[in-house]
Amino acid sequence: MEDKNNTHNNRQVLEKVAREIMGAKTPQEVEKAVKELIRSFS
Amino acid sequence: MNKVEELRLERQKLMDDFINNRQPQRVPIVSVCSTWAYYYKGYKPIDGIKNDAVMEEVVRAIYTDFYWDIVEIGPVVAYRPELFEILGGGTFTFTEEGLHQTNPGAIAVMEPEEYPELIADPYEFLLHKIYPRRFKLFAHDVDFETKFNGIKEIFAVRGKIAEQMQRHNEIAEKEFGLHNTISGLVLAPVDFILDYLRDFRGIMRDIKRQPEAVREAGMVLVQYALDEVEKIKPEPGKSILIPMHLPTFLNPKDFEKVYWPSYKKLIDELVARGHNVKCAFERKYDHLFDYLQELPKNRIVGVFEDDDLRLVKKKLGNTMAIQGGITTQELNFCTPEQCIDICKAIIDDLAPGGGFAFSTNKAMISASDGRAENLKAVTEFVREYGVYK
Repeated sequence: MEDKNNTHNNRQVLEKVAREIMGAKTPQEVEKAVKELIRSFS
Repeated sequence: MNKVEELRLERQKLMDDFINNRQPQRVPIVSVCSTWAYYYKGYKPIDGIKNDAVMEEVVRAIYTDFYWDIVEIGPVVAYRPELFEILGGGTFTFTEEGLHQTNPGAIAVMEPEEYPELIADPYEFLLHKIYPRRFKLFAHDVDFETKFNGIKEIFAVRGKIAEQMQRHNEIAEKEFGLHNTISGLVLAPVDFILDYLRDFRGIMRDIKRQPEAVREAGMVLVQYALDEVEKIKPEPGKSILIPMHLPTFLNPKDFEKVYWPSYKKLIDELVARGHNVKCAFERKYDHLFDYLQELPKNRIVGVFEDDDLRLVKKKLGNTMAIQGGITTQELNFCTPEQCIDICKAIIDDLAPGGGFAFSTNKAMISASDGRAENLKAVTEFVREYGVYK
């Protein structure tokens, strides 16, 4: 069974990357950056 | 403006005329010299990954020793083993020489009953279900800090790749006046499912057992593909590249039902945004020519790997520009004279009226994708013979 905490954990990690490495500031920028990260691993 | 930039702009115009099916001054000569360039200089691709100076030496050699107008694919290695070591998995495996290939069994991590989740939200589905299965770094038992630090390391590796890409582009454009014709790359939506989620056996079963789900997933993934190229501005002489993998294996009925709707929607939307689109039709597509005739006119470049280009011109010449001319097999096994004969005949048949650019039928990746003397012979020949009078 997949751990639901993992969902939040992965998303929280990407949000931190979006803010601290990619420079995203607003919620919209963070969401865009998170999507960019998700695409980058595929 | 210096002479090198003038030359690049002249070549950009060649490509712009070619893509829009106008007759250019001469047949553009397109380089798809990828990692073959390392073998040409006595190296292996891994040498370019490890050493920037080797990459630069190889890039300069390819653009000095052979005549080109256009760069489509260069020698910079885009995938590095260390990326997948940090991620702890992935769909590729690597040879000792630094070439990547599909890792058998690593693609099909999506279950056939999971199409509703993919359709509901592709991003969350990838992040929540696929990546924890595919990459150890994203697994549920890995702590936050380890994941964050791992992604930082990935950024560092990607930064090195980006620096090499930029360096290649600077050399190609500013030292050799070459026009770089590719502005971005996306997969057709159903090819994304094939290449990253279900693999060949899986998707072929899905197409038979739940075609509506495959079709609908493809339609949802159109936006995923468009998101990838959102920041790219359309430019004359440039195209977004779509490699195509699955359709060669599909009968027309299945193609129409599951692949065509999202593929056509993606291309229509890219063209509506001002982009040109280059489709790499890998293997054979003559069973689908009737569909391809419906693509937006004079905004598409077709690179056909195995199809008869004369038949392509007859069926699709009014719809798209055609790129090709010699196969990597011919370039490797024929004599220089035979290669020149092949090129002369193809130019005689395809070039009149415009809409034809010369290249190999696919990227030159391994050492056996061509002999240097043949490549020299054909590029020099096309440079002289491909002038419109």
